[in-house]
Amino acid sequence: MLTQLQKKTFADQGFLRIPGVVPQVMIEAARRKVYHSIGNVGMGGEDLEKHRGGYFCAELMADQTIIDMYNKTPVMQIAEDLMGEGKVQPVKRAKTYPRFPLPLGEEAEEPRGHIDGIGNGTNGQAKGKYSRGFTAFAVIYLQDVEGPYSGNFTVWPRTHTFFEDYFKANGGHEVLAEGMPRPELPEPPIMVNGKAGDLVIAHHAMVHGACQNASANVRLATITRLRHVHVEENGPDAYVDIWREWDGVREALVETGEVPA
Amino acid sequence: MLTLKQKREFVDRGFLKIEGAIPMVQVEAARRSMNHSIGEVGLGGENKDSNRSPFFCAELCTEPVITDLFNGATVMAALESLMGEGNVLPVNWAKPYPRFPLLMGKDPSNPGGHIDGTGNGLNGTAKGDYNRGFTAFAVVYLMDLPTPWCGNFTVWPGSHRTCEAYFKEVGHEVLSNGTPQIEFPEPPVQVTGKAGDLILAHHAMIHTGGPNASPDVRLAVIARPKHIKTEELGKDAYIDIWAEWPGVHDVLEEAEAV
Repeated sequence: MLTQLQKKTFADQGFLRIPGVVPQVMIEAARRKVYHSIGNVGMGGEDLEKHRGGYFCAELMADQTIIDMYNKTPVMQIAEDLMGEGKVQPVKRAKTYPRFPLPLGEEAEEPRGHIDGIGNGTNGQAKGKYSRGFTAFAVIYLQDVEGPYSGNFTVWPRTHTFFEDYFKANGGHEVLAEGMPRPELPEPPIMVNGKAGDLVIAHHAMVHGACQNASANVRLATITRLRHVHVEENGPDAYVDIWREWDGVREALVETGEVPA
Repeated sequence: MLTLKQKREFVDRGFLKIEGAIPMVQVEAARRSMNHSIGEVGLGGENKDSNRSPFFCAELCTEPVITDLFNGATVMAALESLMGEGNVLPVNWAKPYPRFPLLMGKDPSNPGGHIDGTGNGLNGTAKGDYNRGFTAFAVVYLMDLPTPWCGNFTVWPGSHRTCEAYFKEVGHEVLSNGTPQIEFPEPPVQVTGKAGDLILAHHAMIHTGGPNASPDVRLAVIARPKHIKTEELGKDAYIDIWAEWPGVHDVLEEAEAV
């Protein structure tokens, strides 16, 4: 499904936006559930023992309508194109993130990014801990996100390769126990625009975030973390061998002679 | 501001849609405020002493970003065309109403309407009480509602005249039993429209917020503009429905002459 150029772009930039991956009928069903939940269910999912604060749409995490957007659409084929056939675990949970606008008159701050899995005590991980439990982000926009500072999924291009080198040069990934490293990054962030039904797939080691939302609309996106079948086995070693779980990307790079066979 | 044709339509049908009445810059500011409130503030405004259950965006009801939607030139000019110059009080309270979608898979039932001011104990009026504290509805859509079943403002055309005739016959005191269960001349209309459209409706119209089976939350703001003599006239306006509408008296005379 993906072209060689798309795979090379992914390898170089660390992310890829693929328009129109999820059909509108599925997007609209998901959006209806999400807005119903916001208005009639509200916040939930708080679990202090697991360092988890409350959040919207908690009851939809394993909802069929939500996870079908991944398992029953071309998302899986795209993931397999990058990670290898039969190498991607089915999605069992996905988090829908409404990102509400700032108060009227408040300007958006410049986006700040992070690498996933570094604990802060409210994100499912204790402070000082870190883990690498997934291979790729897969973000589906449930409505159009047009223009920057609209709550866009935001990525810092090339940070996946940048941090692989950084960890190697700084004594290993163990530096993550001290929190998010703050070296100067190779490129400024991109606030990814997209239409409802677009997929953004990004490497797990990408510095990313969601920029603030100074638009008039709620930003609705569903995010899951795709897992290679060997993700547990590979563990944090993948921080210093970032293509270990990406057979499809490695093959594309070999084919074009960019890395040796 | 309004044409004779629009006034005739208002007299006959009891409501009127004016497209593009509100500048988009105001619509977007109001939408941002509502969406922020839904996510970051949540329900509020509960007041058991005033028979008021909690609702979304309660803190915005008196904010200029909301009330200014109605106090600008267009809305006031349209209202004065109908109610007479200098007869409309400025709007200092308006309610932003998000209307969230029904559960997925649930079909919407046919809308059921009501007349405003009849108490149910949760809407600001005690059960058994009724009052008539305003002259017109003014509804501003903050997003496009291109089809029915999107939570549209829904009206029963001609019901203002049917209600007047009914109250003349049995007295408006019947409202202490709730909305009259009588037959109306037309089935309900779920008003479609675009962000920035204004809908004006007579206070005696049977109306409701229609069911929302769309994927989106319906965002609209509703004000109840008052004639300067609303308090004075009080409930008598139920049986003299054009008393506060001198702007349409020429249309009424024209109709009588025919």
